[in-house]
Amino acid sequence: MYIQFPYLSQGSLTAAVMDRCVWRQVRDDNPGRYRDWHSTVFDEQGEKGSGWASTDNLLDITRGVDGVDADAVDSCMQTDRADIESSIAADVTKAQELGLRGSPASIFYNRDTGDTGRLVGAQPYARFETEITAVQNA
Amino acid sequence: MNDHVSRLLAALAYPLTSGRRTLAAGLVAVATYCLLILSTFPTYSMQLLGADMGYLDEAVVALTANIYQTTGALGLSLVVAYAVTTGVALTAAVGRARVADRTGVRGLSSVVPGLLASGCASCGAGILGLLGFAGALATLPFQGNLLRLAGLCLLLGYLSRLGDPRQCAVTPAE
Repeated sequence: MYIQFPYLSQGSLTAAVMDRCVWRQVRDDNPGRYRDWHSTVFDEQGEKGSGWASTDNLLDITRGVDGVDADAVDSCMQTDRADIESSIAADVTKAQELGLRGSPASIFYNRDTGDTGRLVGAQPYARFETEITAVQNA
Repeated sequence: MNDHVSRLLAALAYPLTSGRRTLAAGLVAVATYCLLILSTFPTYSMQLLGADMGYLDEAVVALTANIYQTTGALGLSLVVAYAVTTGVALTAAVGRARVADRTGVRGLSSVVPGLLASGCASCGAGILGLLGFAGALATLPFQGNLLRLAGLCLLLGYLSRLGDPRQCAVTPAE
């Protein structure tokens, strides 16, 4: 499960909202397109504060991703933005309660035992293996 | 003004006056660089190094790449310059303390304030992150470059007052 943690600027929040809109648009019929969209935005990101994460520019990027209906995403941005922003604000609060202070961060959860693990940042793969194993065996 | 410049140049050249001083300044510079780089993402650094100190090189390389991507060549250059200047300043401070011991002049008390003033101006952003200000470095003006520049200026100002630590300036009587 992905949880948004926008903290850099208004552009971060715009991108986070569009992320949710894209997921809503593709999740039933073609969920794999979400990853394509996410990778494309990551590859085409601009400098911080340059305004690259504006709604218009993000929609332009979205139009270049096969299988994602940019018009439907635009419609979602206009009609559902406030609700999605509220949901993201709740997620950010929850993440902060879990001790997360930046991104990326990963939480591991054992449903049977309730044990959790946490990794902050893009750590080496071996660290993920160790943490997942520890939570599984907890 | 010329006095300050000549004292600064003398202080900068001091570590080159012997092999041991050069080595000491180099080691301090490397240690400072690692500290500054690791402090840009303190929770990541602490977790990774807490698991295994063997990850030190990986963390330094990853965060060096990160700081280059977020602050550009200027930001990385400022960190390197700050680390090198810290190496020079600490070596010069130790040199001044040794001279002071021999001459009976106030010892560390004359050098510590300058170093403390320079202190952690450059890694302050990392400390902000440690205190819970998410993305503190990225949210600072110029991605923290201004803070790094301020720290560097303080260090250079300290060195321009210190000069060659083996020489004591005597103000002529009027």
